[in-house]
Amino acid sequence: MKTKRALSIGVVAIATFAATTAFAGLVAPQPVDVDLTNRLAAGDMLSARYADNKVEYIGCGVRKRVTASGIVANGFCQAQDAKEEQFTCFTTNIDLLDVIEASGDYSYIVFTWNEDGECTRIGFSNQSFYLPPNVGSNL
Amino acid sequence: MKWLVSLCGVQTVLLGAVALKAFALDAQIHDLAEASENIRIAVNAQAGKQTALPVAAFAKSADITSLSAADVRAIIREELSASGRTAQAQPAAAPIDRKKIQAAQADIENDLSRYRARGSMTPAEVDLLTAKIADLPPAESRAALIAMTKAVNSGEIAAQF
Repeated sequence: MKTKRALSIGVVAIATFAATTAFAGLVAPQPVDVDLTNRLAAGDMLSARYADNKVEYIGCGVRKRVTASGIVANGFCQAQDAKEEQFTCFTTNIDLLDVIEASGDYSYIVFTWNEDGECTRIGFSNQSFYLPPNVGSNL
Repeated sequence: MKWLVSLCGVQTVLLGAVALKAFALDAQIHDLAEASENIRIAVNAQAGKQTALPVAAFAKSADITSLSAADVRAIIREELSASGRTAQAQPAAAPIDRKKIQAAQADIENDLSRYRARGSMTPAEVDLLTAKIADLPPAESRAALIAMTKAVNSGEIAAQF
């Protein structure tokens, strides 16, 4: 009787443990970091959006406009970290604009700039470990 | 025995029909491929580019066939640099109106001064300002973007793009 009870408790304990342990693959959040000395900012958008502060952000964008001389496009990347260090760089380089336009949701972003505030490198990485935990299943 | 012969006859007829259909489809594919090639040549000719001529056209020219791989690479580099791969279009042939440009630059500087005094720019104001900057010629536009970005990054103007 005692053995049966002990066994039942053990089964319940194991089942509870299994139910509360989430097996969801690798998760690797990257909080935003703005390094004004080395002119580099990086972080993933999800971590920025759900940071436990009201200042963190990171992102890039493109604006295109029809002018008398044709289409003019410029892009930018901006970031602010938890210490409220902030930077915005801009670019008109067509290859860097292509990178921005190819970005996805929940990306990890890294960008660098020169002394004039022009973006010199823009990188996006779309990996499973930057995704939010409950987007459903693809089964 | 009779039904075997009949079956062979039917089989032969069916095989013949399949072969005819296959020939017809083959001819159709050939026609479509030719039409597609003609469209591509017409589009490229209209754009004023001769970079996509079919191989047969190249083969007819004795000069083209004597080109080395290095020559071809040099030609491609020349074409790419001539096309000017930047996000800003080349200025129109009309002479640049310096007074108009200076007026536009002054307008942008006034906007920046106003935002510095306030200490901030709304996203809509950022959009309007970058649109004014986009109307400037490339060198002036770059200078204005640098000035705007410096004002934001120095903390003079709080703004999100």
